[in-house]
Amino acid sequence: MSKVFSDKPISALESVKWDNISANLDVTLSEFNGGLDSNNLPVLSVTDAKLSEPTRTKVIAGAVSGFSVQMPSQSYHITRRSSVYEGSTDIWTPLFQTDLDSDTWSAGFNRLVDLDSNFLSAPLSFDAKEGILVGCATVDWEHGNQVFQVQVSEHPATFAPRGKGNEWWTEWGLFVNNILVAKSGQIYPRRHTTQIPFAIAVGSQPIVIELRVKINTWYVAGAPVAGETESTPFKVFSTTIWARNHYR
Amino acid sequence: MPTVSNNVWYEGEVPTAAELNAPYDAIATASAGLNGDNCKDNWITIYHFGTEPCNNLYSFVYDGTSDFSTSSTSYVTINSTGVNPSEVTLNYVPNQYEVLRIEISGLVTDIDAAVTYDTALPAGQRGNPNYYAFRLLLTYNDGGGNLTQSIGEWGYSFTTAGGDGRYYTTLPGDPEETGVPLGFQTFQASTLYLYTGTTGVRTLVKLELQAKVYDASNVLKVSRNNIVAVRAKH
Repeated sequence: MSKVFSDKPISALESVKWDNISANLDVTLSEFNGGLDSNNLPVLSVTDAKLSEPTRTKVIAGAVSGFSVQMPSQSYHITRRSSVYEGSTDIWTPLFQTDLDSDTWSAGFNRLVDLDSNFLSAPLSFDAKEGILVGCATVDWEHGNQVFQVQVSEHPATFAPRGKGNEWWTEWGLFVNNILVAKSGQIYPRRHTTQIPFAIAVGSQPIVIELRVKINTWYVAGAPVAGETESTPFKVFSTTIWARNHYR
Repeated sequence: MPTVSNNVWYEGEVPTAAELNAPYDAIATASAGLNGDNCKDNWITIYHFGTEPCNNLYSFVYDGTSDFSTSSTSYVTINSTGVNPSEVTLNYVPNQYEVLRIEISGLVTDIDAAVTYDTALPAGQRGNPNYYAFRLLLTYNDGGGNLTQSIGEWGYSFTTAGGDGRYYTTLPGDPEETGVPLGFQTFQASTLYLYTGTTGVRTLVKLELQAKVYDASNVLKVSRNNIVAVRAKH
């Protein structure tokens, strides 16, 4: 067990003094009583059963769901807002849609909570321990192109519906403590589930991870002569942000 | 706390055999219950961990070029070759608050987007035929028969078109189906599953990757796809 030597060695034919007995044993006991280290304990001795079980340290419920779980070597954290689960509808129904013609939004990166207040708890926040953060954001969204009335001849003036907006794009950014650490790049019109993986080094510090979106579109003034009204909706169906904090 | 005390003698005292033996006996007893109080802080090294990993990896990979086709409006498990369904066998019993981390990805190939707009649907839903979706389905067993739970759904569109403003009746052209077909694009998603029940009760059986379309007139085709699942224990 102990890697100690006698504090007061006793030689042959030497009479044993009272403090030889106490002092020698004290050295061993002091190691046993809290001084054992990697030199005393065998390699490969820490098995599953020796490690503490995971503990859940945070639960989020309501418009956004989520949790934090602490483990001996790592922790996991997640927030999710989905039309299927938290929205209680289905995969075809958006959580919200913003009319890019008439609603208020920014030409820069938009926080989701500014587009829909139900995303208030969607940023993933937790206290990290020094190590590495590895995680991923997944967002299911739509910014499709549209049909607008286009003049196809001057004499006589003839108008026809045409698909427009193929050059529109949408870009998602992942911000850690308000610093952009990963982005999707520009994605052209469609409904798309975009995944943004990230990995950064962190200290023991509070962390907030947030998805933000930058939208490029243009105003589609004028109503078609016939048919239904046109619009330029931006829709979000679900967002998920999870992170694994692997301790140093 | 398994700590052991020593006896102290002063000059002139004569310890008894029992007194002399007591600390050694106490060590023998306490050594069977060593815990963190016996150890220095930061004592552990990577070499002290046993061969059981803190994380276990499960995966399914289909990297061939055969297409799985579906026009189903309810979820069906992707099976690109017909004999190799996209599923991961788990078959383990999680402890409480264990996390299962799952990531999926794949390739949608030459889709057939026949209908992307339906005037018969309520306003706000008329563009829904343009959609298709994927689902991760977990099969588990709590002691009776197998049960299932959806742990993630994610959507895509067959074409670039969006919104409901695509329907015209009196002008020339066919704007209902406006939009460029979006074949040969990847799909991907990830999420976490947390087991909150009592340790030892639930067996996680398998994970399946499934797909469906909104409108049965359309055909979704998927070739390569994979599932990666990580069981995080410690």
